[in-house]
Amino acid sequence: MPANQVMCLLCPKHCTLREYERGDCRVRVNVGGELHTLIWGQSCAANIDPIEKKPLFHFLPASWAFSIATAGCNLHCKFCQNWQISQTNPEDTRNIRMEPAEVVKEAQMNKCLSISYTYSEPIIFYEYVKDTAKLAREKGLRNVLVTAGYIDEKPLRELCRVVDATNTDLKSIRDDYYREVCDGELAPVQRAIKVFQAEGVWQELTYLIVPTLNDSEEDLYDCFRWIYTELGAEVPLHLSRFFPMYQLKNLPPTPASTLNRAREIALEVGLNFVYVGNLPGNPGENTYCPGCKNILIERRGYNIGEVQISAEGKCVFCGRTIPGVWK
Amino acid sequence: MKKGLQTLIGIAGLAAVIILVLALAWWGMKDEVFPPSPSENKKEDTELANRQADLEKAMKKGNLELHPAEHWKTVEEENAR
Repeated sequence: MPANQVMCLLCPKHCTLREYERGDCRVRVNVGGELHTLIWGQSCAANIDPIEKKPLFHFLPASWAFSIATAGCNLHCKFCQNWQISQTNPEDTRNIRMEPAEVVKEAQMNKCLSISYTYSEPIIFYEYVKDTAKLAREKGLRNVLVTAGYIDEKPLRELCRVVDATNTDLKSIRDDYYREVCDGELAPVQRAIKVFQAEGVWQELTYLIVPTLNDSEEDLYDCFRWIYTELGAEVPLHLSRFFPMYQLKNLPPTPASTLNRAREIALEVGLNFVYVGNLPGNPGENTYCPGCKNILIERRGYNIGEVQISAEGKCVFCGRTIPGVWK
Repeated sequence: MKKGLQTLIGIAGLAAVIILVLALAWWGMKDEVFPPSPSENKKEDTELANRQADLEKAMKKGNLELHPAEHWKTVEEENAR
C-alpha cells in the first residue's frame, strides 16, 4: 500500500487519496499525508441577492443575502444549473481572494442581514464556511446554506452550530435517481435533512421537477409523504421548474401543469407551505395562511408585497403561528 | 448419521477459519514476501512526481493556497480501527 494515503470524512464518498491526489470534489487534496483544502478564501462568485432567490420564503423576507461560492462539488448532477463553477477545478475559475473578515465586512457594508453559502456546494468549502460563519455570527449576521445535504453526520452537526437556515435539495425519493443522475445516494441526504431539523436550523426544501425523471405521481406522492411523516406539515417545500441545462439539454422545461399538479399533491398530502419556483406569476409563489387562507406574502419573482406576518410570526388576520424566522 | 453430519460441519468450519486466517496473514505479509520490484517502485515514484507537478502547476495557475482541512484520517488509522 502506498504511504501517506488519507481518507476524507467530510462527505459520504470517503475518498481515499494518494499523495498529491484530489478528491471527487476537486478541491480537497492530500499533501504530505495531510488533507488540505485549496479553496479557503477563494470565492469564484460574490453577489448581493434577495433571500427569496435561495429560495427561502420564511426567513427574513425581503432582506439581502451576501452570497458566495467556490469552485467544485461532491455531486455531479446532470441538470446542474451552475455547472460552470461546480464541475470545474478551482484553478480554472476566476477567483477573488476574500478572507472571512472581508466577506463579513462586505455583507455589512451592503446592508445584508445574512451571508449565503450557495451557487455550487458549500459542503465542499466547509472550512471557509465555518470560519466565515463564526465571524458573521459575532457581528450579528445570520448564515444560510444552500445545499444538496450530501455530508457526513459529524461534520454536519458541527456546521449546524453556526448556521441559521438552509435550503436543502431533496432531488428525488429514489436512490437510483441519486446514483444515476447525481452520482450520490439518497440515504445520507435524508439523514442530513433530519439532522438540520433536529439541530434547530431553519429549513426549507427544494424539489427540482425534471420531466420524465422524477415527475411521476408515484414519485411525488412518495416524496411528499416522506417529508410530511419525517418533518411534519410546516416545513416549506419549493417545487422548482427545470430548464434544459448541462447534460440534460435534451429534456423540455417542466410544464406549468406538472408544477401545479405537484403542488396539489403536496397540499393533499398535508404540507402547509408549498411553493412553485422559477415560474413567475404563478399563484403558488405566494404564502397563504393555512388557517384563514389569506395571502400573507404576495410574490412575483423576487418582488414581494407587504408581509402580513407579525414580527412574532403570527398571521395578522387570524393570529395563526406561521413558522419561520421573521426578525 | 447425525453425529457424522455434525463432525463434517465441524471440520468444514475449522477449515474455513484456517483458510481465513491464512488469507489475512498472506494479505499482511505479501509485500514483505514479494516486495515491489524496482520497476514497480520506479513507476510509483514517477506517478507521484507527476501528481506533484500537476498540483503545483494548478496552484500557480489559480493562485491557490493550501489550508488545513478538517474531518479526515490517515488510511493507517482507518485500517487500525
